[in-house]
Amino acid sequence: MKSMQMKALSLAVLALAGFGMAGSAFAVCPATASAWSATSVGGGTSALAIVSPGLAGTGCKMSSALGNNGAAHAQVRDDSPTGETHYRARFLFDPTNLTGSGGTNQAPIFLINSNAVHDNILNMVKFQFLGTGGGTLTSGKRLAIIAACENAASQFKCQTVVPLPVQQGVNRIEIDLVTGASGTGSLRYWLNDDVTATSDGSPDGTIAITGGNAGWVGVETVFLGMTSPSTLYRTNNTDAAAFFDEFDSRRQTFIGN
Amino acid sequence: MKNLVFALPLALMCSAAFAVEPTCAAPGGPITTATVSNITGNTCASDSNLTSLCKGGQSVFGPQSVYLLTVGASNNFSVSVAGTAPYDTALYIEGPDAAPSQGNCESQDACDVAGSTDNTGPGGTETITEAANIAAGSYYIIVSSTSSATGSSASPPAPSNGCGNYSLSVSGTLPVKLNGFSVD
Repeated sequence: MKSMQMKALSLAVLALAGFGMAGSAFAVCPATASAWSATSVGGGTSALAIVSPGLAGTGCKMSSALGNNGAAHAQVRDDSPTGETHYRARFLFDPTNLTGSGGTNQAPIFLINSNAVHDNILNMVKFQFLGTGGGTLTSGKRLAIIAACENAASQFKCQTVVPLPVQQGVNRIEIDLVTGASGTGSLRYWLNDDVTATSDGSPDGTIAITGGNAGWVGVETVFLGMTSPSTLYRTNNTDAAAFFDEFDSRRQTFIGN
Repeated sequence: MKNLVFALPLALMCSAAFAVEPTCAAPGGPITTATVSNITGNTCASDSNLTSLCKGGQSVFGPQSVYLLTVGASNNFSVSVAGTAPYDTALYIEGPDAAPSQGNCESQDACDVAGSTDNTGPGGTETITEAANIAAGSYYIIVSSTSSATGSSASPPAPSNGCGNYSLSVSGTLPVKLNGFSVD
């Protein structure tokens, strides 16, 4: 296993080389997100590009748009995690171009995967864009945060749905995932605009990992970008670009803004 | 006069349903012939052991039927699956996989090379046409569904059109094996 220091450095470089380039409003952006392990694009007119300007004052950002295809995807993939039992990540997400109409208007935006399927699930954490739906949260663009957990009664998924704090603009999303037995496994999240200061001790929410998540062992692969659109997402948001920027991941330390 | 003789492997019977629906743990095939048509099955009889494919990058709904496809050099082929309405199929090809017998379609194979598609609605035909000469090796053909989101929660119930009858076909060149060649 790589050292913690190397790990943090390598992923910081990923963010910078991929679509960081802070300080230049209209930078010349790289043609591809080559710093990532892979770029995965397919399904109709799906497209991924690095474009200028970036989010929150950076030079470049990643544009991810899905075609009218149920298997559409426009993602980058990071294979550098190696069974990480403590994994933190942060990125910026701009859904301005996405229509938030319809509770079945859904598409994952960020996936954290284990090395092997456990309880029929590979996604340890899934962040999924949702439109307006039922329940107690009935308006605007929302985010489902779904974590794998050892609870058969909930189909091994522990989850919450929250409104995106910035409907037209940049959201800063951070997570802290701990893999472990019941009482140890946890998922905390921070969900804010791009300027509000945050701290490790004050997350905006915590997903109760009922029964723990030790069966998934640790983080092995991460995807960032839109994928697997629902039928209504395809109706409402085909070819609409969502934007991502400032991805960073670490083993231990809080990232913040 | 040329006299070409092609091998016709008997491992796969065309136009016949597999007695047991093939799964990731026990895939059907391997498909090695140039043209195979009308492999029929019903994914409702298979298992739902996968909730994501392509190294976990894409979500699937409903059961999956899985076949192995063996590809040699100089390949150029298409794979199609047609569902019987209301089944809304999705088609994936994952690989290559160095150890397909271990059921690695569960998590290890990316779809970056081969592809995936769900371009039509219930009862439609999905087709993946590979560029010529993808890497030789063993690939998984996965028949499933992305038909999704019938509720407004984060985890909607499985859709009613997430499984059903299908017909799978492979056409083109894998290539077939040349057993003999002579010029009279």
